[in-house]
Amino acid sequence: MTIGSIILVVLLAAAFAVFFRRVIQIVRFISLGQGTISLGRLVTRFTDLVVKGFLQRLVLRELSGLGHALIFWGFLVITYGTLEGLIAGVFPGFSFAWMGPIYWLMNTCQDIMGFLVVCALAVSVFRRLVLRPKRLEATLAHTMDALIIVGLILVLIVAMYAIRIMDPRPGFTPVAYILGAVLLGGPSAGPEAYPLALPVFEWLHNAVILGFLVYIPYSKHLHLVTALPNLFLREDRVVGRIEKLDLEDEEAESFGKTKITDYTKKDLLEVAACTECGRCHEACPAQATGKPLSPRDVVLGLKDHLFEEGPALLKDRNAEMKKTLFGDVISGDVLWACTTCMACEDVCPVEIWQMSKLFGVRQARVLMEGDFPEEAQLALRNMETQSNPWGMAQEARADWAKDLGIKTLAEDAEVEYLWYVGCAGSYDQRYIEVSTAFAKLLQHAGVSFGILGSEEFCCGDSAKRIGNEYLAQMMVQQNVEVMNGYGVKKIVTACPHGFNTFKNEYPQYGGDYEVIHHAELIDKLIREGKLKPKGKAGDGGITYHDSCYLGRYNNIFDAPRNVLKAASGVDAVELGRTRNKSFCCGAGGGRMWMEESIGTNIYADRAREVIDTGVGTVATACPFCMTMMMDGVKDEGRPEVKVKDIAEIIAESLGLTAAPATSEPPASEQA
Amino acid sequence: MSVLVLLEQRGELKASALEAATAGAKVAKATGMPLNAVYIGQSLGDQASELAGFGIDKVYAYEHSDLGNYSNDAYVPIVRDLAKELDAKVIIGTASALGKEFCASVAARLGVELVQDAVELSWDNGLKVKKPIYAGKVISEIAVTGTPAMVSLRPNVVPVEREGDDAAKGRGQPEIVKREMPDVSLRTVLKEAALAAAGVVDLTEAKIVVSGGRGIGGPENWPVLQGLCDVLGAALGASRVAVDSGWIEHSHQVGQTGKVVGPDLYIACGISGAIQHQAGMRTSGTVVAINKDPEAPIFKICDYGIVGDLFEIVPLLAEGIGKVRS
Repeated sequence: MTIGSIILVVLLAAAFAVFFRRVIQIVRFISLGQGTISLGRLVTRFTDLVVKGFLQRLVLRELSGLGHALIFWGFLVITYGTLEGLIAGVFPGFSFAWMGPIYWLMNTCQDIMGFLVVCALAVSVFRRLVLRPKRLEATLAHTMDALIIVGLILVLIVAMYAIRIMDPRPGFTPVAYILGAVLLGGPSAGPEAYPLALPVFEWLHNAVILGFLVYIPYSKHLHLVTALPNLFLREDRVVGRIEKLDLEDEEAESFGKTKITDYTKKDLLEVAACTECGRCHEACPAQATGKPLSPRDVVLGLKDHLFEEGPALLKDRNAEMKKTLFGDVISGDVLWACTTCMACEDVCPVEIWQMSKLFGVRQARVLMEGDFPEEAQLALRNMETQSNPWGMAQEARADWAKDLGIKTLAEDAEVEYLWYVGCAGSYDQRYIEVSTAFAKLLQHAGVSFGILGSEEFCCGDSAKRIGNEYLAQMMVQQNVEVMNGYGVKKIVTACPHGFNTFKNEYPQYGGDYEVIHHAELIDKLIREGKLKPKGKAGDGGITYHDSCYLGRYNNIFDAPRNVLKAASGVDAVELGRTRNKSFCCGAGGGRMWMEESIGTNIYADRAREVIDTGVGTVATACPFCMTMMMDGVKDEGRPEVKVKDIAEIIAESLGLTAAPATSEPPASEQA
Repeated sequence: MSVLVLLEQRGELKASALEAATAGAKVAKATGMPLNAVYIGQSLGDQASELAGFGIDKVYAYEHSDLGNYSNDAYVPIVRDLAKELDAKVIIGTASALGKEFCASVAARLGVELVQDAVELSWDNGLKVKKPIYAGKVISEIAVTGTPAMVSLRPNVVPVEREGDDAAKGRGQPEIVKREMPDVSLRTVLKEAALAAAGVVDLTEAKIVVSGGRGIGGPENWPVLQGLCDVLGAALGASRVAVDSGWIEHSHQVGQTGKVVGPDLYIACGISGAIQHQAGMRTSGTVVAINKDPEAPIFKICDYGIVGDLFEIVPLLAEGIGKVRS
């Protein structure tokens, strides 16, 4: 062993010690969380690791991800050479040459990938410093962090090419060849010709590797260590479900998340896995309209908080923390700005569930402190007393259906579908028109259905997402009791919020039903030939605004579009932000019952997008979306743009309801 | 045996005093008992003429500068002693904020039960009272068995009624019996009353609310509605859109995320009346809607709807009502 190799061994040992010490510390921080991280389903896990991780499927959902994928793959093949270099540094003369064709292939790959990585780095620096997209909005420290890493990679590759030029390896290496020709004026003279330069670059190369080891676990590039485990350890969850909170638990000292250690270990692994890519920051409708909420900053805030409090918490789990979870780490304005549209979770390349981190904090605020935006008080109180957010009389729930010949299950329970009408469908004059249209469609198609009438209660979605688990469970249990009492098997509803909660949450409360959204049922009836629309609806073109709870939450994108195509004869005009990239209307997550006093209105942003398409009608499939779009087109001075539910459009096309061109006289005699 | 009415005053006789007198007259008529009233205040003076026509025999007037403002120390013993002196079988007060305290104290001193906040009185072998409970969802009927039977009457519920030809029926001007202020030491003395926001009617308590929405078009147009508010003595409300657009402060907002109002009369001007707005005003007595759009949902829930331009209609309404009122 030479002196050089001894020094390298010592440095390597030191760097690995620093690296592993930090990694172990982070693992221990993560273990401060609740529960266990489960294994099992290993085939799925390895598939996820390969497809989502090594093949970069989630990153490659957009073009800018290609840069990352190139750097990542480049990093992997270059590591092969790096390893060889490090071993050769310790045991001079070591080489992977015995691998034969693999060696040749890897050298070829390294040469080409090195060049592609440099290109990708150039593009990424250009984006970060010049183009500055919304998602890369970051503090100076974060930007510096990114540039340091870029610099290190660049030095690594420069050193690699320098070594390759001076000490050529077998393989097809056009980049090294051209560089050599340009820099040396001809082919390399072999390693012996560069007694000083070659070791300098070898040491530079090794120094960068050592630097990486020390720097990475302290930087935003911690995700190199945490992202793949996070993908591998992904929890099996029902998308759209907020897990049932055990309110009967007499041992519980608190409900919801009151401190960082109330989160699960997997939650904490997720926050440590954040790559700071900013995709969620850019996708968030609250962030886009000037609210202080950024899903990225929520996650990074939790991460910084965990890492800051971690050392003290490891000594004493109940140690006094410097910051409070609510207030310091997540402010009230951040917490209540979330519309639960799930755009953040959908877009995350490492499957962090940003939105879900907020629910527990809301639960803690509501259940432990009774603290929530005061405007929501009225809605919650009304739900409690009348089981609807507006405080309309519970007995009047089926008044809208009086003259439509609709039976309740109390009158006839032998029906195929229970139609859960919902609060808006029962009380909101505008949505009653949708209910009426849907009722006529069902009757026209000869579908066997019934409603619950005054035995129907609020589905609990808003209360649950505001964090009032107690109230939500009360209403869920009432509904389950009634529905099970009638032996309900299939539920159809025209509200995506009810749809989501019945489908994904009610099974936790003993309510197991086949749940279908009215868009799906109408689509099915058209395909079965039970509804035969004439394909002429929608003067001036129709666009479709995706409901978050229907689309992103439950992957129902095509059914409403099929219905619109059948009704109008042509494909709906797509909005710029569409399908899983759809922009929220702003009313989910209980936001419907709160004021939007910070920034601009989310619904107005979406309405402008609708108006810009120049269509005459925007179709919705959700009562909240409908309300928000109606306000939006009026706010933007285009009240002539019609907002219609897909059921209304198809009913008009079938001639079941009159298009509202005939203006009714004001109902002055109706008291 | 007699019926005694407590006449509420704030410098001047309150309308509620005359309402209590009306209710007292009804009981007196049904029972044949004489009707008396007690005035406690600075000076009854010419206001005595307002007490004509109810069939009041005597008004016991306790006048003193220290009695101008309500004082539990002074008012309560006066009524307690007078009730005993007159052998009152029925005592009727007013269920205002002060009246409720006053009546409760008197009832305690007399050792009888009290029905607060009655909306209707009748006599059927004893005093029968109607009173709303559970926030007005249920009207309870109560038989008052104590002697004297004591109730406080909710203001603005019983319309004031005077008998027609007063003099002919001998039910004209009551006799004013002046009494001295009893010798009591007042533990509290009101030095100054600072009234909040004079001239502005509180939205949630207003009997009439005039609200404006998107149709107002901008903050410069509020004077149009304010004109109508002024002639009606109404409070000014607004829809979420008007508040959101920055045309008026949030304290005026009526609706799901604003205030919940329940006035006798609600006039919605340029408000489409989506359910989020209805949630804040659906308990209103009579709803009048003025809107250009005949399909506005407000027309489905209003009692009177006017399809038209509010800038044309509201000034006409204000003018017309102004004429009727003057």
